[in-house]
Amino acid sequence: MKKTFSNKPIIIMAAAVVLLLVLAFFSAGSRTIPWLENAVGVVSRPVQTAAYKVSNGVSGFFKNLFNKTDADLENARLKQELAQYEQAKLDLEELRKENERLRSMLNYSGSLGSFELVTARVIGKSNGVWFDEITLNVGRSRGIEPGMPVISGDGLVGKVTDVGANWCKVTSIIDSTVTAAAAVERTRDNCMVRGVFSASKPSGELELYYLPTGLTDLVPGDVIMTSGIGGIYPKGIKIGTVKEVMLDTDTSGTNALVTPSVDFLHLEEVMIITGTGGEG
Amino acid sequence: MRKWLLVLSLAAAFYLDTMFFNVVNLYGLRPDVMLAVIVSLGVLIGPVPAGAIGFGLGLLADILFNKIVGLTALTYMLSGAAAGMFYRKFFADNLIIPTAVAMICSFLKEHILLIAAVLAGSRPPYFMAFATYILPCFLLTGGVCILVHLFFKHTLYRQLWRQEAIKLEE
Repeated sequence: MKKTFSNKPIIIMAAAVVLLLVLAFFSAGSRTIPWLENAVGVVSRPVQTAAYKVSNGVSGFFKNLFNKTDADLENARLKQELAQYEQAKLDLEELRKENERLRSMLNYSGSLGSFELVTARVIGKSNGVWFDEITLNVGRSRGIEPGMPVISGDGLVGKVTDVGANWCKVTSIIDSTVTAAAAVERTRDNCMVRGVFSASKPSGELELYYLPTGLTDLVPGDVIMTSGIGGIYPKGIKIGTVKEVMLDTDTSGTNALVTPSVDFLHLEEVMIITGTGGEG
Repeated sequence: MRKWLLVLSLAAAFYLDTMFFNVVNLYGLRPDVMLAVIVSLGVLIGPVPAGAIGFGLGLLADILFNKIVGLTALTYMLSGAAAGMFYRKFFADNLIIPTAVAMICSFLKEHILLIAAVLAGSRPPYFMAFATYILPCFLLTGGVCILVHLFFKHTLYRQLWRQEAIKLEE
């Protein structure tokens, strides 16, 4: 016993274990970034940006290698165009429904105002599959604060959790510890979505729940949007598309698997909603 | 020369683990290169330096990329110290010891992170997670540890051995 306490490396290691456990406990919740963590983030940002670009370059090289025939390139272009048309159609439908609701509700205030956006580049992703966080190259200096929603051209990405001087971390909606208030675009039914653990699908999947059975006719292909309830995510941002509808035997409710509209595997640029600049 | 080689190896492992394999991987499966490097170093240079390297690398990865700061540092530091228990107890040629330690440490690390995820509110199905992620990753980490250990044995360890031989002659 006496020998153990006189062994300096063991004492230092035990102290480090305690310190790291305390650090892990406090960093698991919302917190203020300590100066040391902030400084490390600031100093390493240019290196991170460059290294992430190199990794994407390597990934792109292999992708192009297996995707280089004319037919494949044409197919990729057509898929992109189709996705743009689908998004435009969705926007039009959303506007039409909003217009209908506006006519029936004179006191409609409208929550889908014009957003104030800050564009950011993804410079890192968390390791492993247990948590899904991305690091962005903007921070407090650009007005970023914890809790701000993050979107991409395809839909909802997540929300800002930690903010440094010129970097921030975003917890994505496919993280299995995250939930978001949602609505079915076609039926306007409110529900919740949460990330599903899936090691074999790094692009992620979502589970839709709290949808009462018999009161909804959810079908595969239905589009899921943010409902605006809870105040974290603004209303009307696309989350994903229903892939499979299931009956939850525990709650007698309807659950569904949702494919996220954002390709989290190839996410390079995102926009942070810093405020609503328009009316309402 | 040895220091530069060590720093370059650590930087390469850090880059591969935190950036490269996040973009380039096989259905989400990737080896834990940093763990393989730390374990191999533990067997070759002892528990204290390997533990310190594990602490530093893990903390840097946590700060820059991870949600919970401290867990990766904790697992890497303990892995380095655990591997260091075999320092000078076996021949450096022995590949079974570092490979087995790397696989066990990878297994334990993923379970620590799994527990943290469950405490944070996640409900991953254990057997599915084990079969589709934990098991393939710890096998991959063991495989990478063999390559890393062979590399260090032929570069780093020879230099260390020469330095010790010179000291003994003096």
